[in-house]
Amino acid sequence: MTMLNKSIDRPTDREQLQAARDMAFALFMLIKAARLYDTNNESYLNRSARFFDLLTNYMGDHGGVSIKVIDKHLFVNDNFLSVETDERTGSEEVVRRWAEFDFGGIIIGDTITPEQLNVFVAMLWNLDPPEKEPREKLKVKLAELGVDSISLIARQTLMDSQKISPEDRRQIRRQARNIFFRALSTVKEVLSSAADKKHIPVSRTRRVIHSIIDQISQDDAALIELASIKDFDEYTYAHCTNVCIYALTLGFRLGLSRRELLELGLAAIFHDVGKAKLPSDLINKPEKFNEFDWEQMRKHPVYGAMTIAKTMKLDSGMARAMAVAFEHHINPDHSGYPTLPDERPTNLYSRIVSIVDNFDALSSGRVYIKDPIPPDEVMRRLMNQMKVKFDALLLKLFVGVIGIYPVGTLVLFSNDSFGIISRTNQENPYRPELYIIADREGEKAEPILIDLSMEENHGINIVRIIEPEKYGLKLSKYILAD
Amino acid sequence: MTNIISEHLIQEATSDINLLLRDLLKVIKVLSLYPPDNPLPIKMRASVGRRFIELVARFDGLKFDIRPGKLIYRKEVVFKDSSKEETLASFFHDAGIIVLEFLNGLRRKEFNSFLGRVKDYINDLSSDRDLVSLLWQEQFDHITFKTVEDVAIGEYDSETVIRGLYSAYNTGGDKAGAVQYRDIILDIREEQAREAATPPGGISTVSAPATAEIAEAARQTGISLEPRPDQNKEPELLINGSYSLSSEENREIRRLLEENRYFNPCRSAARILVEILHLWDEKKPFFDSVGACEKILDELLTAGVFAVAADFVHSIRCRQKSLASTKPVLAARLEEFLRRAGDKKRIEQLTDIINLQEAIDTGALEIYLESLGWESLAHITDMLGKLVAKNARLMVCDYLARRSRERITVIGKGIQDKRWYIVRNSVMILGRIGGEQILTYLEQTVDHPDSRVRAETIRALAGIKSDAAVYLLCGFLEDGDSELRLNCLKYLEQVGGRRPFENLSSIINSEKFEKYSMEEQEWFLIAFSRLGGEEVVDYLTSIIGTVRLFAPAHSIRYRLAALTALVHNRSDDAEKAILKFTCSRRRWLREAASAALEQRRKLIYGGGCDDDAE
Repeated sequence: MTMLNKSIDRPTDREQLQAARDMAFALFMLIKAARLYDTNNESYLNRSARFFDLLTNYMGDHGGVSIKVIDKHLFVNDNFLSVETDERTGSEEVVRRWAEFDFGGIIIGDTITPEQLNVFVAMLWNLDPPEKEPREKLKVKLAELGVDSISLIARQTLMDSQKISPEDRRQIRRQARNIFFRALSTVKEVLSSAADKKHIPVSRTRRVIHSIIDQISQDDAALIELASIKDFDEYTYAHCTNVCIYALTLGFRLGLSRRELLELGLAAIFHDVGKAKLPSDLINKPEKFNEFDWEQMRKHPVYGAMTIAKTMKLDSGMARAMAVAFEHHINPDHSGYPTLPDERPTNLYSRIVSIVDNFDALSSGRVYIKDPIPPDEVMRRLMNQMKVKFDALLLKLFVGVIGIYPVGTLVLFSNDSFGIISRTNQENPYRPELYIIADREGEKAEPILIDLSMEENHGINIVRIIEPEKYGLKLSKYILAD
Repeated sequence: MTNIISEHLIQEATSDINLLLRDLLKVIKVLSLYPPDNPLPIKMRASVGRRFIELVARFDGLKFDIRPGKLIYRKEVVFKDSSKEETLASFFHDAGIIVLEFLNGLRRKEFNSFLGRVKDYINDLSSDRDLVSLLWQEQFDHITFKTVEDVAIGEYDSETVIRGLYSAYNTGGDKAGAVQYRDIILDIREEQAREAATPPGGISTVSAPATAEIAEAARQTGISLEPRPDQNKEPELLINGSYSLSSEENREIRRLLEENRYFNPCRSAARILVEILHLWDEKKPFFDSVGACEKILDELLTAGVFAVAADFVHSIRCRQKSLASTKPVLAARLEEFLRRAGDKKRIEQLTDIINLQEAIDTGALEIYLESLGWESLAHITDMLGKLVAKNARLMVCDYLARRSRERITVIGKGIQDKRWYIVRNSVMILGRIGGEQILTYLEQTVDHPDSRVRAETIRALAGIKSDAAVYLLCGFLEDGDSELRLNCLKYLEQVGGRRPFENLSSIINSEKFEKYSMEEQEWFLIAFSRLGGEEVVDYLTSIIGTVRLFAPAHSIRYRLAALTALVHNRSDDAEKAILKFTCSRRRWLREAASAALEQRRKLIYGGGCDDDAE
């Protein structure tokens, strides 16, 4: 889930993304052409000219260029670029050849010339990769031939790229905790202001969302882990914060710009502001809702939209928040509530919040159902209602974000140890990273971090997800610890 | 000595930074005024950018504390806002920024982007402008900032919250004493055994026995308690069996994002409020919603999105009609909303908003006015006097003319107003309505003390094809204002007919005619000649041919004017008369008559314009 986000700049300029994609694929096409044609051949020269045009334009803004593929994901200057399946197929041959030389990408300096590039591509196809240290040997060969503007990047896996030191990890977790609890406090202030019809601190809310988005772009696992804590007393505030975090993570995966993410975050925080108008004993009612309770509860989207309309200035963020507050319980088939006079499509952000709101609510078991449901079961229920209740594509993306074993889930292993998932693995969702917290002998003095994707752990399998509430286990003490 | 040197260095630094900040302020102002491709701001930005980056490198970073009216660097005030125009510090402070830091390694591209966002902020007049968010969106590597909100948020001590939670967990302890993990494992194995023993759709054949029995039961049924290999797989959790998106799905995502960019906040907010009005049956929440609608309408008008405001009002009007018979109380509240949408205060507000706009979308404005009820007509008429932009005034006039045809009395009331511009505007609108129905009003303005009102009255009368209108128009031939007289003359020539001719005759033969300027007399004679045709030839000839001894100069000019008048007379007699004068003994008259003849022939046969004469 976090692989594609870590240490990545998120360009706000879509044209730049397109320019990067065009340039990268022009390079792949050129290298493929070198396999078939001589470097003096017209076809090759045309492709070379095209690539250099695109490279020059791109370099004008950025200086040198790095192009690398990590686990089939393309990165240009550390920016992740989504690629279509047929595009990926086109580059696979080149990437396979790179892998034979044990490198995963190249850095092109701004002194590159067509001649140097010709030497490089010729070497790539004409040289047999030696068994030992193929990358080093290719490097030496290129240096001998005067190719000094191309450097080779070692192969990486996405999990490799995630490697952070224990101290950095602690620092990130501490930072995430700060952000989470400050968000929680701000949400509390916002919703209380709304309930008391006071001025809503929108600037402060925006600033909190800035920090959440920055944290997600660095490492979303830490925030998702905190969102998995479901036993806060002040559930409503925690719920709004969690919905914001999940929504932003999904929005990030979707490719929303920073401005769009900001508006999504704002809308997510305000999505249940209408509940401030409902009696608190209804919100906190421990028993199941009766029909009258549901009738009251179904008014909260309208109350929410009204509150936002009356208390905030009309701008893009406010209008989005109003739409989400109003629409987040309207289903794609127009069932749900409120009932619109004309069937019309709902806003993208409303559909995002609808999914994450349901996910968090079902996982928490505080409002709509009174017993929490394990995350895998929640996912199953969401997917069973796919197309009827949720946008299918967004739900698929969300499943990819959350994973089979969501962060914060307690699992039992085949070796009778217990672990809490700390980071999912998108390449292989059954092999995440986690903390071992106990075994049949009892609790560990210190949680032990293990990565199931590592070869030494291949004998360990996850047997089952455990519902901590059933056994009185409090996971939050692990999640909140350093 | 060291102190003196370092103090000197500090002073030098302060001075350098101050100069640079002043230039920065100039660049910001120039950027916000000029178009982006203008060479002046590009050049200034490049120069200041280069110096800024050098200074940042020289001091290994520049960090400013921002106070109201001051920028502070290392406890020294390096910039003070000295006037309303020199407000760099206040600019950032008012935007919520209290610390601004430029780190060593600052790149030109970052600096330019920074200035670009500052410029966007200055030029953005919308209510959601937020410099902090604009800068945050850029993700600068070498520019950081802190805001007042960061300070406020920092007061939420998350560690205290966590410690509180932690101690609660620690003191509460786990349920039923220390967790027995071994028991949990056994419990799970029991569950697995039950699941394994349960036929599909069936009931478990293994009840929940004690631990020892599980193993025996499992052994007897031949069921292994080891996790099944396929138990790790949850295929139904995966769509298409993988997380990766197909090409079609990627395309769909791009389409979603593209569609999302076209989100119209004003339309969305307005639409939702209209939908809410369909949901309430009870009075209080319904009235509450209408209150929200009024607020949103204000904001739509302030934002200048008149077309959206018009749709909004129209939708509410439809809702009001649908409720009128079934829920009259709710309908009445909507009626009040609709009335207020076009009341005096709202129209005044609209006028102020229009006057502030650089470019007015008159089409959209017209659509909005069309959505208002007829009760607004009087207030909209008032609007005319205050609108600055001519195109807006013309549009409003046309609108009022269209809407007021059936309610002319509403406009007619303006005739009695004490303010000249209201009277003028009312006459303008009546003129566009046209028809004899407006004459009763125009009769009241022919003698209005303000010439601008009378001028408009002439225009209005000229559009009415009736004897009564001509009669009133003729009255202006004797107006005290010569410009109005000439204006009137122009319209009367177009109208033609006996009455104007007779009125002209009467005036020309009166004593007051001699008091008119020579130029005006010429025009009157020309008009007289055009209208009179052959009937006036003798009269004009007599003027030309009359000799007066010791005639003052102006009388010659008058004779020449009469000659010119003959030029514009289309009758054959006029030509003959001019021909005759070409044989005059007086050389000046001969020459003048020759020239006149040539001119006349050009006019009549050669396509020359009558108005080109003289």
